[in-house]
Amino acid sequence: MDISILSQYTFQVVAVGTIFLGLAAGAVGAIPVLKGQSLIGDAIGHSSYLGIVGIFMIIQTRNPAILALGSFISGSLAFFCIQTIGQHKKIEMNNALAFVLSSFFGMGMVLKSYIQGHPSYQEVSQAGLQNYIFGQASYIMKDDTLLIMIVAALALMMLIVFFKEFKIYIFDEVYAKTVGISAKYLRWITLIMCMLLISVGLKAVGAILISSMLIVPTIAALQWTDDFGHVLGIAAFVGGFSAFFGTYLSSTIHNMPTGPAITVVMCSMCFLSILFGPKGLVSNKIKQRGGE
Amino acid sequence: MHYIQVNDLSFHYGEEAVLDDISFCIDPGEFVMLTGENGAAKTTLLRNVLGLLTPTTGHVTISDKNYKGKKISIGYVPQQVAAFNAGFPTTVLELVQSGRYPKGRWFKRLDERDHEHVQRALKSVGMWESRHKKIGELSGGQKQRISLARVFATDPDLFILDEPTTGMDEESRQKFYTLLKHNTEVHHKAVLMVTHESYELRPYADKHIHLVRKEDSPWRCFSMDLCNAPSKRQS
Repeated sequence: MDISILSQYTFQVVAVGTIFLGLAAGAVGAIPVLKGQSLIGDAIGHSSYLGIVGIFMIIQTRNPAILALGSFISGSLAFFCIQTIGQHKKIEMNNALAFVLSSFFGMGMVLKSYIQGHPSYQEVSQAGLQNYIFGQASYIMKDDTLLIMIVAALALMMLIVFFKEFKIYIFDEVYAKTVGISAKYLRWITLIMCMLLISVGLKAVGAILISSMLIVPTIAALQWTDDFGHVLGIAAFVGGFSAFFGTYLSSTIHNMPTGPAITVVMCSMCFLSILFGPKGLVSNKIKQRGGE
Repeated sequence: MHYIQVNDLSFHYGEEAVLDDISFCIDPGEFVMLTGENGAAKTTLLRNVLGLLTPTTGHVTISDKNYKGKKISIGYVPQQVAAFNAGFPTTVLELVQSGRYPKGRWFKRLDERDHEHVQRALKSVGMWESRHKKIGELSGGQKQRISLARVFATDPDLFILDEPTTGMDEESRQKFYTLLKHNTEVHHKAVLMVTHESYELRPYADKHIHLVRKEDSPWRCFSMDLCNAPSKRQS
């Protein structure tokens, strides 16, 4: 293991960005996962690649804030399409999600192929766009990290401020409405937090695997506790630690994209939790044997 | 002052009329039972009252203030705890404690008084011993009971209860009715409760709203019959 990289400034910049992203995505992702809506994050993540390429074609810049704006717009449009198509009686929500995910991501890939070698875009560097598919830590700059930190801090702050409201809303939406908690506003806050985290995290983790940062940490956390607050804390830890270790692997292994590295670490933690966590499979089996 | 005032309410699902010509009011200290045959749109009426559905015509007014002039609070227990997310990581105690959240401000921790309310609420539905159980381990009847406990912990001014005694034995039901009656008579709470046990509940109720099928409607549409004031009449 090469630990000398830990003291390098460039690694530290990247690691701080991905850790903040992992912490916030892990905690915020618990809301859609516990509401049974985790696939919406997957669809929005894939769909946002179209916005990255689209806004690059229009403005011809790779400024992280501009590209994040493009992915946010594309993600919002995808969500609107999912909701509209999902209301059609003959189309189930899962089918609407798959349709929007594949059509937006496919269109993004088509546009990316179109601009490669096209004379109109020859004067603008487009090399980095490829990295938004799987993510690449080495392309993350100080500005990217700053943007991730701002969005992550904002998302975590919203989660802390509305903790009690979210707890009631996730558990029982009808009860939430009757005690004056607006399920509509909380749904929008959740969606905007997820879309912002996806938008700023695409460069680090990539469009294909960004949703795993929202989903997998909560699955792991649920194997350790039955307390909602603790689930959020453990999910944040799993997200943050995976982001750090995945970034380390990506930085030390040649040609290793960051997204897959983070996802492999996170899924390994989740797999071990499912097996050996106090609420996991082995523990349940032992309890069942004890009860017989 | 009326806690609930319903004027000429009708409600349609698409073209189909299900409720028509519904008008009633509920005042502080009143115990009102709502009955009707299966499929008589009792739950639909409650959801209109709560604002979860919008009346097609007419309107529902819920008072902003309670009889003391403070902001009114409502406690609702649905017919089936279907909205209940059984996979949510929480215990019975935590869930009932969440009934106290609307009383607190941001970041406020539950104090001694809140804990007393929670304990009393859990004991009143016989779930104090099961307070450390996980939500996913409960039976349907137990889920119903902790929904009631959460509402009692909220200490609302207005109880709206949709067949809350499903799964309770007769002794528990009688205790429950007595508790509600105590709340209306002593603490001036108001209760609107859907029930199929109208015979049992009659001695406790001040008003009885019965939904009856409209013979002249092409749809399975129900109107109301404000029967009587059984408990007041008895006294």
